[in-house]
Amino acid sequence: MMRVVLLASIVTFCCIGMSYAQIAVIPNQTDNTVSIYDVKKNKQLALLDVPKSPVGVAISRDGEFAYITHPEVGLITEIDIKRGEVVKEIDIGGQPFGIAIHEDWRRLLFITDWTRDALVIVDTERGLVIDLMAVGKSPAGVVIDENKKRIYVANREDNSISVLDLETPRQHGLLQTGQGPYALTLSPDGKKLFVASVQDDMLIAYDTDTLEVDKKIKTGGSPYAIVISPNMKKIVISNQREDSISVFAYPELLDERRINVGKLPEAISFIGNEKVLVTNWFSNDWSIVDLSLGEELQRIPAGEGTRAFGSFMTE
Amino acid sequence: MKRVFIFLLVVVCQTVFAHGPTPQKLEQSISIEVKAEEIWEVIKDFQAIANWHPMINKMNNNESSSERTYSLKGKEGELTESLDEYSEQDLFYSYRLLQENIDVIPVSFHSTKIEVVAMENNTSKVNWEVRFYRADTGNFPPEHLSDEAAVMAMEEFASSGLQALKSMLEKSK
Repeated sequence: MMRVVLLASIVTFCCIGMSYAQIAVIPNQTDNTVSIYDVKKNKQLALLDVPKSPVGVAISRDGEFAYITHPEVGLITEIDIKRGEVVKEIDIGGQPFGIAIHEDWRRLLFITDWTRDALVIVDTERGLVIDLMAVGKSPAGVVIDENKKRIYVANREDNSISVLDLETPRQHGLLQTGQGPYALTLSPDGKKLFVASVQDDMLIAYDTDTLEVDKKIKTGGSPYAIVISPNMKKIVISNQREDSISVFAYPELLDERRINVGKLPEAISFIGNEKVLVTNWFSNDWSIVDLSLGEELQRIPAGEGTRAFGSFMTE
Repeated sequence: MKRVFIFLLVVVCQTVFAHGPTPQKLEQSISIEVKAEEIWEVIKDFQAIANWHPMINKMNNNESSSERTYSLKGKEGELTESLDEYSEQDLFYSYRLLQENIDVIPVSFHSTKIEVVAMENNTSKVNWEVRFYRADTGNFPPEHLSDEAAVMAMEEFASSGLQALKSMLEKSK
């Protein structure tokens, strides 16, 4: 039986084109460390000391570098994942929080600044802030739509999403959300944008062509992360206040099941199409959950205040 | 003169930020030598915290049974909290700070869970867990609005509540 499961999971991994290991890069906010974890081998590769209060994460397309935000000290750190080392510190000031990467002929970081109400754009090679765009109040999550060349920013204290142009400093629109929008996710095909609001427990799907609301549903308590499976069959949301995650059928958004995890879960990442890793901020651990079985398979101890805001796993 | 005004305005803005990016946590528990149901009986009415928490001065409850407003002894001003989860079956509830008042408790936000767990030999445990943010969530908070000040205030509030429950219930045995 075991062998069959193992074989099945290898097949799954290959099918979605995973040529090398899936690595999670997870900040432990209170410990001032970052864990580098090989999900497939179930093994911690490194635990790095970093500057104060690491929170946000983005990983380069080639899977070689992770970029971490440190809101308390206005810094971005660049981590060489394979070497397990902090290789660069970029001082951008303010309170850098959410982070997304855009790569064309150079690698740019798009970082939300909680207190400056801005999106800060950083050239990683030069280690410089090259632009600053105004967004709404206390911006949190940020995602980039590479096809439509757009940036979406969740303005937590303004109950809105700023829709910006990726190539010119221009605003396309401002979308109304529920109370306290925090996490944003684009569907893998780019057709829908999802935002969860943590104060009134709502998930809204917008059509990215029309920027109109496509669907609106009630979530569990305090939805802090939204992830969609690579095969676009499932959407998983963390219910921070309820110590659980909810699984919905995609794209109908039918509530399929709720699965208990550790205390005050926040970030989630898919491992293949059937499993997720969840970071539990309060209980300082990670849950590996099988979505089909509806069960937590494993609880992995992590650092104090483990919390990864953004896409924290290599593909 | 104008410059002074602008400076003041900036300072004020810094201190009224609601949440920040870096929450703190608090985890306290106490064991009490009574049955879990007896503890629950005392704490279950969300609007009656003044009956058991020694720091509460005056309740000024709202019509909605899921909200409560109170003041603390020796402090000016009020706090309003609202109930999020409530389970009579599992003996817990959780609530959040709806209207902060940093002169009463120097936090800009908190969410708290209080839970009663039955242990062996008619003993029970009360768990008090909080996620909260300091009062000034900017990067350079003055001492009285810092993480340390927030942690100290939240610890005092939780431990005095738990201690009071213990002495009240063990005495009445």
